[in-house]
Amino acid sequence: MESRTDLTSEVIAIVAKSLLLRPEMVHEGSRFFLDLEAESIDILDIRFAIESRFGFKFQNDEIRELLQTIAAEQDVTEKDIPELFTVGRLVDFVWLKISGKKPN
Amino acid sequence: MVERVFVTGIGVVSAFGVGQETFWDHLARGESASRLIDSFDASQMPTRFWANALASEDELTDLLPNKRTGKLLTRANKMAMIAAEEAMGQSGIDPTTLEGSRFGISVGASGVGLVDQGMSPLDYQSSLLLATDQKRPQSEGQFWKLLLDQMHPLNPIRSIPNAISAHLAIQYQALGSCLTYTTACTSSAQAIGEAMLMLRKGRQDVMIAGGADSGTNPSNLLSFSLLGALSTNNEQFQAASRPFDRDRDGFMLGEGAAFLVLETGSHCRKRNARPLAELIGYGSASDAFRVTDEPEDARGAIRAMAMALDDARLAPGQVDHINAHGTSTRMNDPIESFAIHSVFGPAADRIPVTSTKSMIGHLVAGAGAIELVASVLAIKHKLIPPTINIEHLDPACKLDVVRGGSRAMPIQTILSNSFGFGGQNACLIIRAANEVFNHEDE
Repeated sequence: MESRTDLTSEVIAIVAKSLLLRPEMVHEGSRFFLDLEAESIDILDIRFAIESRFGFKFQNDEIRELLQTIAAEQDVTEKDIPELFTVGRLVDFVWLKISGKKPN
Repeated sequence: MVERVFVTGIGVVSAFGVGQETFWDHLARGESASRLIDSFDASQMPTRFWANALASEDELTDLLPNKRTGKLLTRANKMAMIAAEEAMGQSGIDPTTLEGSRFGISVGASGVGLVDQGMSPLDYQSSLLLATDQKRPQSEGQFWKLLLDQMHPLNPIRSIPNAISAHLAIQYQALGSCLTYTTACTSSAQAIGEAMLMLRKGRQDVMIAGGADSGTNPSNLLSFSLLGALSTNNEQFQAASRPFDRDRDGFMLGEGAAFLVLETGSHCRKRNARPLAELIGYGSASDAFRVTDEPEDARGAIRAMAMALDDARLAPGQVDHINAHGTSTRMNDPIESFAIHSVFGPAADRIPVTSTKSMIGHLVAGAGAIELVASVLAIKHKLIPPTINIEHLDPACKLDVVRGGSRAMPIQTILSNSFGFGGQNACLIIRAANEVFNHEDE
């Protein structure tokens, strides 16, 4: 993966395919649960597709920890996570996994 | 008050294609849906044919009322959603106008476990056997870890037995009873019968009832081959399913789905519905004998038929036609014939019997539903489809089996049998609905 931009396109393609949406309907700011109307089972599907594509495995609690981190950063509780869990946050997470770099 | 129960919509996906008209056209013409297996290398299998639905996974997904659910549905479940949508469309019911808690679901389905019915043979190999050169597990612990890593996380949720009923409830916002029956080859007949009982009691106004199954996959072929239940007549694969024939040697695997919209008389009248048929009888009984053997005295089959007749308040002579379980196995057909003679007495000699399994194979959990849909269509068209492939009627099956072409005749009442592994027996009776609004029923 050359750049985070390339990665974003790939993640958006995966998300769009899983949710049967046109890729142009998905962007970094799209909230999985609110804007894209995903349900928890969709996140499992997207996670599996990302693991297969990029060759790493999410650890069991990693997505939960990611969401908790997001909540802590924004000073909100876990129940507000649907408001905050965006495609961009998932791209950041995958970018960290495959490049070892934190997002800017 | 005991409500009468009417069929106001039917839908079907069969090995002949999608929709009731296609289904009926082929049945009426007496065509075989048997095909040589080409979806995986079955060359080493004792049985190398089946009656599969030709539609691909993507084609089925395109026909779903909500395509986004496609990834959550097995082949059988997709076919179920498509058949139910056809039935709902025909009923003319706008589900948004129903009182949700009075609207229920009742489905006959298989329990399929972690290995998904819709898996391709390659997925199947990699997920189940995990025996590629690179990833051959070195220990039992590693085997399970590989399975954990490779299995798609949606497989478990695709494969739960109540997936169809859950998705139907979500699709149509049916907030009432949401039931699943997993009783082998009687599953969908029982689902329909039990739904009828709920409607009669007035516990629901409308129920979508039926079933689906997809036995045309390597796992099922292996399972039923191991049990010796399948025909191995590969040379004459289109003539292999031959219920009641002297030389029958087993059944043919099929796949498909069939659903009916069942509705109380009160609800039909309220919306001026035009019923296709009335569901008037249901019997359910266990052999309590052996898991795969049927008892020679046919005790469960006899009681199920007798119960259904009693339930329908019919004398044996008032049944115009029997859609038999008629599997084409050595065991079933003579025992079913004996049961029919025991229940119907002299009338058994003149009641036309047919087995649509001769054409579409055995849908297992979906069999009772698709055969009841065939029966609704037989009433509509005043025509009994033939049992194909009979060359020599088995002397142990002395019945008026419709053969050599369809038989045109007026039909008021049809009894439909379903029997299954575990000693399950279920029987349904329908009649023409031409007197719905004149009959004293309340």
